[in-house]
Amino acid sequence: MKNPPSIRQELLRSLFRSLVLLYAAGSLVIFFIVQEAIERRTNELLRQKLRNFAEDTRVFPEDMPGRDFGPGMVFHDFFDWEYGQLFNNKGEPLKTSAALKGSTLPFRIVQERTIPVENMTLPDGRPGRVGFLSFRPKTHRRRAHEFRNMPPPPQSSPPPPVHLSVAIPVGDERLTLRILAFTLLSTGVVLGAAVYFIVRYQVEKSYRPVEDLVDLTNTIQPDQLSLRLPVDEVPVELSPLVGQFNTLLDRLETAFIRERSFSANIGHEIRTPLTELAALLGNAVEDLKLDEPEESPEEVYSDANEICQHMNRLIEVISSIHQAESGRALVSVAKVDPCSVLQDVLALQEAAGEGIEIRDRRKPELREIDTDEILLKAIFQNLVSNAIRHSRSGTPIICKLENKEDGGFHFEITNTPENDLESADLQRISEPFWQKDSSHTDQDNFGLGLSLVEKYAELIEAKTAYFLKNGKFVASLQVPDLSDMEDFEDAGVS
Amino acid sequence: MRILYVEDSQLLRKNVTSALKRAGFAVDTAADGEEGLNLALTGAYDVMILDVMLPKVDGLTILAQVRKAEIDSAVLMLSARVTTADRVQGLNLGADDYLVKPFQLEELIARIHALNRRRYGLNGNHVEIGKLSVDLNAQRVFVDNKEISLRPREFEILQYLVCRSGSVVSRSEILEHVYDQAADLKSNAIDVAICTARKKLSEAGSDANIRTIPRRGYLIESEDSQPASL
Repeated sequence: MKNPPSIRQELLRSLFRSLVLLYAAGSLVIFFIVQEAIERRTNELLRQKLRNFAEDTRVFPEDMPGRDFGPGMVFHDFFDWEYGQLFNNKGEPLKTSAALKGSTLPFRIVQERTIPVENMTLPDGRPGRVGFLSFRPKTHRRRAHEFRNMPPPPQSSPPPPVHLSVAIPVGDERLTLRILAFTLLSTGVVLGAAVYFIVRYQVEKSYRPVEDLVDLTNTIQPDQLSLRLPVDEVPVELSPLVGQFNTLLDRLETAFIRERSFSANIGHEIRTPLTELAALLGNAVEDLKLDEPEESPEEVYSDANEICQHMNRLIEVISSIHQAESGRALVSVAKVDPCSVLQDVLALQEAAGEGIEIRDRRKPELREIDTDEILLKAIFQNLVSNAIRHSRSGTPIICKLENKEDGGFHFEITNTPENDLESADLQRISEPFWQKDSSHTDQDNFGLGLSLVEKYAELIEAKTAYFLKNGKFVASLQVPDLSDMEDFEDAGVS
Repeated sequence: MRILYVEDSQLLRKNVTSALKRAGFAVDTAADGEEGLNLALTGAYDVMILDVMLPKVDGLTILAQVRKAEIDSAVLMLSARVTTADRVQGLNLGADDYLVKPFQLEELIARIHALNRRRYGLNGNHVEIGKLSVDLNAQRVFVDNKEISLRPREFEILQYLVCRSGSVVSRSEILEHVYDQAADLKSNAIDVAICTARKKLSEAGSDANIRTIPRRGYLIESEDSQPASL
């Protein structure tokens, strides 16, 4: 499966792309606004020119002498540099400006008071814009001095409409727009390059804490699991991630230490009997050279057998823990009478615990619950034997068993510990191989009993607790009725 | 040579003690740290073998207490802990050697011999005084390359004397370093053993002589090196 693209590249690309698009959009908007403004201004100039021309155009009375235009002719004239043409209704030019040099402008009959404009190419080849205006020219009013020697003019019909076309060059306008476009484009290129480097720098800068974190993470080797990432020194966005990572490291380190300690303890537990065996056999071989051996072969065999049985018990306990941990221990739920299970265990353990009084305070009205009888028995055995093994001589052990309101039952076993247990010891008491007195005087005590209790309790959803009460050690067990637990049935455990 | 062996495993204690005794060492044992510490502080041991994990008082604490009391016995730590940190901890506390379980008895005995050699400034397992040659490892005695037969106790006394050749060894020192606590001693047991050994050496033509220094003890030396009078 392909990895998603690099965050840094993606960030750089998207930021750069966004900024470029933003600039391009801004430039286009600026360009069109300027273009619109220039065109509007040019058009307004053109329209104003047309309006002025129409305003200044007059039709002379027919009897007005001394005029070059003759009767009925308009009196206004174009300037030489202007492109203008005046048409009658038939589109015949009435007047043409000199600048047109014989060519004609487009002719349009348009509604009065509207002045449409359109682009065109001027006769000299330059780009231009032409405006159209249809209007009725005003009749020239005689002034007072003109009436002195003349009869009053007859009433004549209003003059027919004329159609004016005036064009102006727009080359400057186009040039301005081209300069603007070029400026925007070249600025865009320069800005783009600058923006690219700025964005890249900012992205690198923003990404640096992540890189530092990665570098720091890379320095953590399996033998340096005590290292932690500095939560206070990373940006606030990374703090939760770093916190989680540190929590994972905590758990990993704890697991590593536990695993290493477990392996070391197994090694330790096996090395001692191996040494015993080696010493036993070494002596036995030396004994063979003697006429009167110190130990008979039967004694040697008995001792070797005892060592092997001890090792076998260790392997069985470790195997049980491993099975429980890996979920391979089969849980078989059926109706179980906890009272009779405890009675069996106590009968067995009383024989083993010589000189120790076990006060049985079971409540006789205990009801049956759904749980695994074998696991429950193993838990009882380990708790009771643990209490017997570690009780001060001459002190009683008290067992309590009672129903709980939620359907399960509560078991509690109290003993006076041989060694002075402290509160700190309680946190480690169920660790594999942990013993207050770490020696190996007791061949059957590996320090695995309470670890096994924990594992088995997990399998039947039971809860354990260990605490000190008035100098006495109390092991408490809450066992639920598994028939009430849907989750347990759903887990498919038989 | 007298050894203190502190080990809580009864089977191991029994077998190792048996092997050490067979190798010619006088061995006192203790089953827990408390008893071991008591013996270590009161007895005169050439070598102490301490298990690290012991009931009541652990081996490292015993070692620390021994060194604190300025007892110069060689100390060999025994442990099933194999990490370098464990060994370094033991050696730093003043142990002379560290042996990891499981071990071979031969190795343990060889290491004890090595500690003894270091303790008495010997170069090898053979000690020669004139024509007398003592093989400390094999527990054999030769005079002019001819082996002479000594009883275990006679050999142990001779061994201690040759290790300390050139020095006068008192009876109490012999008692402390050659006999273990369980030895059933008669009042003249040392004198008798020395007398017998002296006679056997003399008969074999040895020029090394065990001399009695009045009110001080015994001294083994070659006749050539003997002064006209002491």
